[in-house]
Amino acid sequence: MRTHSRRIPVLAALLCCLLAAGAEPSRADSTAPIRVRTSLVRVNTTAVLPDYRMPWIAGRSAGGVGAGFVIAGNRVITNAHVVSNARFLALEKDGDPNRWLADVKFIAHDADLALLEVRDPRFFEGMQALEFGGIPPLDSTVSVYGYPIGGERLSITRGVVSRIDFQLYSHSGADSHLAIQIDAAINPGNSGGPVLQAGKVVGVAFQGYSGDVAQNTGYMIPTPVVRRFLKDIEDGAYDRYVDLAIGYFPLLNPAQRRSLGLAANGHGVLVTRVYPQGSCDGVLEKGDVLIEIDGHPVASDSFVELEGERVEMPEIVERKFLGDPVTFRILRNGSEKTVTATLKSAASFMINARNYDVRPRYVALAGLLFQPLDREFIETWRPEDLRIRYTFDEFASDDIYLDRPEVVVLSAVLPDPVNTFLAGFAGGIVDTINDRKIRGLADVAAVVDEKPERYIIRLLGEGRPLVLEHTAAEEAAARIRSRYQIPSDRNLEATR
Amino acid sequence: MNPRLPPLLAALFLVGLSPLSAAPEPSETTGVVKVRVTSQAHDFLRPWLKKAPATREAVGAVLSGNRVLVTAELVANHNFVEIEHPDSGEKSAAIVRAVDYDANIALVEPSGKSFLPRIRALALADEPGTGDTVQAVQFESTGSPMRTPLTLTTVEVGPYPVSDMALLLYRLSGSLQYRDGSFALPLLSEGKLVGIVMRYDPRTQAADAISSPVIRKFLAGVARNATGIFPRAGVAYAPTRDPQLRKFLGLENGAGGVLVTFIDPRGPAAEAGIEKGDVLVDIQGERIDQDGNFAHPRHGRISLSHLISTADEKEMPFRLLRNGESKIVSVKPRPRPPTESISPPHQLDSAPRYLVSGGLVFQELGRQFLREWGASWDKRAPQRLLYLDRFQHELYPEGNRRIVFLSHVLPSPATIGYEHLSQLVVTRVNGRDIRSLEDLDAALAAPVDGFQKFELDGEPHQIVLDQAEAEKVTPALQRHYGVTELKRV
Repeated sequence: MRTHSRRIPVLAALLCCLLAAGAEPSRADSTAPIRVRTSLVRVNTTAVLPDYRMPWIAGRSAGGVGAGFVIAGNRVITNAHVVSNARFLALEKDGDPNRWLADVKFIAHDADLALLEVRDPRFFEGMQALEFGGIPPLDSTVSVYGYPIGGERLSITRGVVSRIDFQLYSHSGADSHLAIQIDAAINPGNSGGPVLQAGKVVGVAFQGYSGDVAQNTGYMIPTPVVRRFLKDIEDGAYDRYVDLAIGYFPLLNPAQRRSLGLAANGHGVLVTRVYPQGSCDGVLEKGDVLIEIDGHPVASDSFVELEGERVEMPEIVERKFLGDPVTFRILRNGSEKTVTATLKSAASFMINARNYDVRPRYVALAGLLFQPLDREFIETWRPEDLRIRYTFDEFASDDIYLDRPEVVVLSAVLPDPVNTFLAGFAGGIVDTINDRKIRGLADVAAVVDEKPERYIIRLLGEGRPLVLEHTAAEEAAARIRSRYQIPSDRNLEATR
Repeated sequence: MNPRLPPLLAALFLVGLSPLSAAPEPSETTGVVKVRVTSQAHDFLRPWLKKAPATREAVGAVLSGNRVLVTAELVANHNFVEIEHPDSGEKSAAIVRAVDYDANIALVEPSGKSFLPRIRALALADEPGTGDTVQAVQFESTGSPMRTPLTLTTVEVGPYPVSDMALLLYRLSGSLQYRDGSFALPLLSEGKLVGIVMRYDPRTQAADAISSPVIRKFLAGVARNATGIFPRAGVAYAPTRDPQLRKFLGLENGAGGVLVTFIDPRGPAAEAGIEKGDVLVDIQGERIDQDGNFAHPRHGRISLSHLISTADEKEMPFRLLRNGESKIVSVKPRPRPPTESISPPHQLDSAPRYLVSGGLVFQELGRQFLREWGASWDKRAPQRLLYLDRFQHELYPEGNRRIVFLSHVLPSPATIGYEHLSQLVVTRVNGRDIRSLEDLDAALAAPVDGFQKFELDGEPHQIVLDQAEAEKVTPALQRHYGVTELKRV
């Protein structure tokens, strides 16, 4: 399924450069179209990047520059990656020496979009809201506005629409949506800037390949994705994308079609997996054949026709919201029937998404550091251990999340006399502590709070228990706290 | 030598020189011969094929009874073995008499009976001690033996290269120069055989050698025609040095003993009633310390597994502590042939089993298949298969089965839509459980309504072939992809 597609993250290089760009004041190019000059915003950010190796510290701060633009309702739109983890936001506009303080009002990490609120309403005096257009046709020309590296002032690049396709949005690293590829240069600092055609916004510049991978390939977020974001937040909260949470297989093989009792009409895909707790749990079953989705016939290669275009089946769901229904025509055990599912987010797969705007969660006990297994963990510690890598990769497909909604890893042992024989166990997955099955970090904290006489920690696949006596752990606590400068033995809340 | 020298001239040059070099005394070319092996490994990715042949040369140790000792790696997958007399250059074809991959050791025998008696056989030396100097024997291009002194730095139980077994190993240090034909080298001490060098790292100048107790055990096993030679107990353990762990286990501070952390469910320890969580304190009267070593009379602290692997296959008393109670159980260690594993640790000298059906290629999981991913196969091979291999005891405690998987698909008219499928474990076919290729073969003989229905562990979970169509496309499939035989079960 799409949430599992693995492509090369392309934003990494872009993001680094973006954050490294200087924060000097700029003046807009007087030759830029007047409409854009009065809509474009330069976003100066100072972000604090958490350190998952030392989850108790605030992390290092980094400055960066991106672009944004004014839309109706005195709002500024930019990329999520421009303002992620931001602690301080100052906007600039053309011909104005002032710095305008701003805050993130809504942020959609799965769609790489954010909406900013400017504290002083006078910022919008003389500014003009840009309007959104549709999806530009292939081979038509578009212009990209922003503040990319190579200078301080407004930069305009121009290119043609090269491709309209699903792409991995590398900011979250786990979500794929429609994206438009253009051959105009999109460089660090272009992020969040508008892409215009005939005076209307047709996209938001957001990612590209670094030059040593591919040339002249920049990507913008098309307006259906932007409109969906703006609609989602109308109720005052961003709910994320919803997901069918099923696996399916194209029915291209004639023998397989016949064995399922299907005609050779080229319709239908096989449901190969229904993720427990997902949108279709209890609605679809493994072995069902999906013939129609919301009245659109599903071709045997899993494409549907939508507004005259052939698109992949999940595109139907891309435009829907939390709680929306989706209706399937299915073939089950030889008879056709219609079923309806209520859409929700695929929370169980979020182990694959990067975290932003939250402090790393952990529990530290006698120098033993416990952290949840997630993408940040994998990218920080880069474990080579097969069990950990397998558990991470197969977390959704092997139903591991049902057994352990959060996999807790003994990520490090900070050397101290109390744990000197435990150093070799770093990297193990915690199975139980004092016979309590660990189904999340909160379980670890709960055992600690019970102040047991001793902790018996059992790791998966490890026959030797890790034994810590409470008195020894207590005695070591102050020493470890001051030596390693750990202000608190835990952070359980996913908040800033 | 000038590499641009024409070969003929080079030969003349050498021939011209050899009378001038000191001709070795016949008595000095004691006990060593050149062994040249042409091997052809099976291609586990295309299991109906063999890979390109390759020739390797080593120095073999001549033993009494017309036998030559070399490493098992040298003769693995051999097509042709040849022994060369170092002085005369005379050659004889040879056969592999015995091979043991646990100990990486093999015996070859020249077919010419008159060949070896002209070379004095090597006797086996007594066990050397650390600090001793021993000689590795190579051949100069002239055929005269070259002896390099190596210092024995460590005697310990360590991993051997082919199997998953750990046996007594000599670690040596010294500068071994490069010579042709040095794939394995005998190690001599005062003219007697003390080991066989099987690995050398020129960067650290460290060599690993098969130890003499291992050689002795192997030869004794061969003498009684044993199929497996090195016994195992089927138990894993952890040290108990940690005072907090000792207190939890109720162990006295000064005492020894190791914590049993894993029991092979079908091994001798399990049969004897040893349980995970027991503390193993002595084996056959030898006290086990907190790290799992016993006091070896010659080498000091040596891992307890040496006691087991060198024992005769008879009952050994194991003293345990269970819940504070002392308990003696009798364990009869025995060798475990690789074929007893769910996913065998190696498969050499025999062709991989497979079955092709309409273009779907099925195989049984083994580490030899995973090794096709090269030197760092344990990281690069398909993760799911690596996981099944590594944790086979945990995942299939009932044992007595193989893991059958769809390794890849040869595109054919019958496999449209399946082309990209690979490395998927097969659970059921036509409603029958699949625990071996024989099961698969039998299940395919009973199609359901003309369909072959495969259930897989992993997306897409099920695929179907039309039995008639699969049969129809088979001749073309065999021709196009060079599949000589459709199955080897």
